[in-house]
Amino acid sequence: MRGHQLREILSDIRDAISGSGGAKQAEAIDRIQSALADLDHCPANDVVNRVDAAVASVTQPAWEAKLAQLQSAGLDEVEFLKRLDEIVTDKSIKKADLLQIAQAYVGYADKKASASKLADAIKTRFYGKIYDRDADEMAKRATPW
Amino acid sequence: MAALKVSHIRSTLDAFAVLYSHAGATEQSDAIAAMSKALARADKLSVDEIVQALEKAKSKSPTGKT
Repeated sequence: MRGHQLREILSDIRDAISGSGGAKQAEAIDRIQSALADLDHCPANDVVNRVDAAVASVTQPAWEAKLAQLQSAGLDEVEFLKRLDEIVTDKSIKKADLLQIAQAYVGYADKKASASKLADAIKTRFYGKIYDRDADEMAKRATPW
Repeated sequence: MAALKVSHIRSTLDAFAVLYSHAGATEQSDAIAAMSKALARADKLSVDEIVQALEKAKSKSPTGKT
């Protein structure tokens, strides 16, 4: 199913309820489906994923959204450092948020550590992951059987 | 009048998912149910907040840039 087919279903639902006293719901469904129009040629799953991401953006605490951005950088060093820098320089991210991010990313974090120490701990964990990956690859090359 | 909550929309979507299912339109039913599930965490929020978040997500998406 494509995005436009999903929107057509939503339009059908809108039409069905607008004539039976559900004018407000019909208008709301219309606004939701209109906001998804740019995904008409994408798979319907992309539409659902867009809705999921939009919901997450308004329901997740800020630190969870930042953590997700950091984790989605994977082992891409440039991307990771860019995203970490965004977190550190984002004034809406308080030290308590950074502590939550560090605890989730590193596995533990000292509550008394300064913000820069927490950022360092996150960075160290990232380079630890890079080291683990490289060590695994070297081990595989050394023992191909 | 109070703003319409996402939960109101979800109950409508869920009802139609059942109707489509009973009519044998499984694909449509599943798509609507998936949409409703994706909205579930926003039940207590207003539709306005979700529409704004969708518009924001659209503006960030490569497909949404015009």
